[in-house]
Amino acid sequence: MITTPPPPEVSGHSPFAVRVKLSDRLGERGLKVLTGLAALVTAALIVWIAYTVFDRASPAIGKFGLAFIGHKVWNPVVGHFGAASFLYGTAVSSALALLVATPLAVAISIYLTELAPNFLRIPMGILVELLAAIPSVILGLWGILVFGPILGNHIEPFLKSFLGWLPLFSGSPSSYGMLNAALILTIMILPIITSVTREVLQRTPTASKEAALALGATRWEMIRMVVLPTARPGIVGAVLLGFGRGIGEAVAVSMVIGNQPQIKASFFQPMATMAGQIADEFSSANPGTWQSSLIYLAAILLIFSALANIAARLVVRHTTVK
Amino acid sequence: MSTTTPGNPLILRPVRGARRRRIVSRSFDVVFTLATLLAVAVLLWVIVSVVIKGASALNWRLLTSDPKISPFGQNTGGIANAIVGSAILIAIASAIAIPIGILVALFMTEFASAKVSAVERFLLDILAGVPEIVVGVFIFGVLVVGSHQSGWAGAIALSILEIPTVARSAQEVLVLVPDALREAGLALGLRRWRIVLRIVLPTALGGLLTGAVLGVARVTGETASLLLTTSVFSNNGLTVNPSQPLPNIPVEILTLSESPKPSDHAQAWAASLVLIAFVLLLSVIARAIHERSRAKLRG
Amino acid sequence: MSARGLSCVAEGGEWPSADPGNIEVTEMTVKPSKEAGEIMGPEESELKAMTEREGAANEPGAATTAGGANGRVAVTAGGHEVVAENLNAYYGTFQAVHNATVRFAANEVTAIIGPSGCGKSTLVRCINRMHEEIAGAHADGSITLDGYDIYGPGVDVSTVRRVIGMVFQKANPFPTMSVFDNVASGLRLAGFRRGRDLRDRVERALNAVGLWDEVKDRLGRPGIGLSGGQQQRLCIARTIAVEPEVILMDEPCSALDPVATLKIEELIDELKSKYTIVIVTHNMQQAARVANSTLFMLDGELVEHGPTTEIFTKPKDERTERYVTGKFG
Repeated sequence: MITTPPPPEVSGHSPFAVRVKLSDRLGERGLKVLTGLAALVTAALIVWIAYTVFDRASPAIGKFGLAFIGHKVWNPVVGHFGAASFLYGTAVSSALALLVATPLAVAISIYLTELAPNFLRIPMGILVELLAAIPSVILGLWGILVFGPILGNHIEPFLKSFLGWLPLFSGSPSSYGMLNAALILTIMILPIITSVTREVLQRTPTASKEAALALGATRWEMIRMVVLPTARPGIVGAVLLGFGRGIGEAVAVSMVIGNQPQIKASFFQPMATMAGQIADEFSSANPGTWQSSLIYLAAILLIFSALANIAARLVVRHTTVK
Repeated sequence: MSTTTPGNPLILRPVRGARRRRIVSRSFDVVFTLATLLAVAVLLWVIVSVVIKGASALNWRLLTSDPKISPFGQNTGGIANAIVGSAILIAIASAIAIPIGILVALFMTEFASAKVSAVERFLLDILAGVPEIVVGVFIFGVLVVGSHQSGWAGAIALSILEIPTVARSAQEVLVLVPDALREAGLALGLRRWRIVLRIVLPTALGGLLTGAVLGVARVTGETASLLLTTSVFSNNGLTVNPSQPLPNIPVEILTLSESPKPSDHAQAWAASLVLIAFVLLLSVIARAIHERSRAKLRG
Repeated sequence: MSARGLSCVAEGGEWPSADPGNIEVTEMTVKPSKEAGEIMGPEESELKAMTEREGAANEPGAATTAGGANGRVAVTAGGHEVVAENLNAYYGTFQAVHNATVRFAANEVTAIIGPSGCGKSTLVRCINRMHEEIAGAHADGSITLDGYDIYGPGVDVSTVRRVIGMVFQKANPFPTMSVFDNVASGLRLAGFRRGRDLRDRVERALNAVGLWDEVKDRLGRPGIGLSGGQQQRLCIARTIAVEPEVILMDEPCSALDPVATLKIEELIDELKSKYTIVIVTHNMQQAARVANSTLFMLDGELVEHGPTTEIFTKPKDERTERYVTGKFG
């Protein structure tokens, strides 16, 4: 950033006196004010969002308190509301998505940074990034009409036949449900984990890689000895970012998860997530306890997502000086 | 010193351990490659699904006429109103977000100290991390409650999502503008604001455009926040007044997907095709501008 | 030191992990026996046996030994020499080394001098096949180690690199590893797992570079916590822990202060009795101090190669003379 000396005062005597035009002064101040305001707006927005969400949730917070978090029932008809089933649904869907997406993302990043021939590197990179560009509603539509049937008619029965003894794969296969949602989420969080991991992997010092190779390490051994350990904090940050993204996804999840507020062990069962439930029910929720309970969910979601985001930035910044 | 193949003393042969290690390494190579191919395959699967299913339902009538619901509940018209509505929403949102985003970026690169700039960047990251549905709830609480849904509400919600994207992109490119240019301006006696307007902004123009296009791409497919702000429509006709809720493509797709009728699904695919084509086109354009402007700045 | 790495089948099979059935042992080189306590200690105590467990008799010319050391067949006694013949090295279309033919004598230190960009690093990196790790880089010609072509078909690159070690310009200990793990890293790659044996080898390597006393109380601390000179000696320890036959050094002291440099030069002098050493240096005084013979390169060409004193006092080529007298470079 460049600092400019303060404008010289207008004076008729000094040979260096400069008459500063009013328009210049106004322009200078104007731009400073405008940009400062813009920055303030973004900062203020965060506070305003948090305030509004909690304010609108306050009827429900006041009525249910923290017990809301542990309460399993969500029944608008009788007015019982509790977040537990959504916390469970959000946690399981995100965890499952992370479980699948993270190794994939690391593998793809390794491919793109260490293996891909130069001419393929950029095109493949673009293709992976394009996954992020697919609007969530389209992924949801695809999830309902294309992926769901395949999941319900082929993949889930297959899983059940081998692993049906596990409670995770018990019950009847269906095209909707936790597994569908988790896999759709996987597709959605894969790009962000990959892109951050790629950046981190690219920063591996060449000297360390050469040292490993010179000792006779194979490429995989070099990756295992040098690249991955060095990148580990960054990958953690990437995972946190993916987690933050996953818990916040509303539309695609609500389209395929079935939106049943229940806690079930089986991945084939329909369940519900915080974001998904808000998307699904909000328009039908009449103002009152129902609506404010939904907003209570939004408040919890906001906290978790902010925490995940902050944690991610702290971890990534800690290791890589941007 | 080594094992040699019988008959050929010039060839070093690896010992078994080395061979195993090499096989392991090659296996991992295969695994990594397959993982990438899997991701690309899924991408292609989705896109091809949309293209195939959408193309068959896509026709001129769909794109240009408003919905006409037959007595049987079937839309024999089109989705023109949603296309127009989306365009209006995106236009308003971008008109708000792009200037603000660029101004924020200017603040960070030209006027703020390093520490303040870092804080602002952090805040932008937080803002970017707010889930879209929560932004929808926010705007609902501020603009819809006590009133009704409207295009303004939807557009403002979109702009909140667009600002961080534009700002981040803009900041990345403004930082690349060499200080030497700014110093040259100072040496000529220009005030800072003129330097910014006359030198910095034009130099960074390509990158700023990229940021703008990326921002637009970001909100084009956005659904969650619109669900709460502009999703309930009183009629099925063309609406251009933003103080009324504006029909839009993403919500339209969502609504159609919830219907059991295959004809509605077909329309959903067609609308998806339009949407995804637009988003992908924007992404490609953004990337193209980005590469060109970066090359120019690197010199 | 012997046919390690490439061909030994040790009873109890540690170094390297080997399947006896697959090894054809036809020749072995045994180095002159060493003093006890040195890293390449008397093979008598280290190599348990050379055995072929199955099909021993089937291999033509197979050397069968069993039990102690006496049964070994010594074919070539002495150290290991590297010979490059008509070596050309390229980065894409740019040719960095032209038709290099040179013999790096066994158990000697050969210095390579020349102005920046003359191809000395490239030449050296061809010897342990690191050159080809750079995208678009390739080389042709031949480089042989004791007569065996390291670019031959079927040659395992990682084996070559273990037998021909390299020390880099800037010390590069693995940042996420402790001192101990750094030195042990190559050993672990080679299949050494047993704690006791590993510890012994690490200690011997650190002793050989004169670091043991300085780090023995902080083996678990990060390798990058050491000073620059210590880090470089750590890297040398890491390299010799796997008992290579040749050590390549690419300007190993250029980032170090004179005291550290001196320590390393002394170390080089000690090491040459066990290894063949090639050292790239831009410091002519250093070449004069440590090297038996010196090679002068210019623009990718080997201009002159001879005993160090000759190169510096009575160079045969005019270009060499101009360089060593400081007229350019």
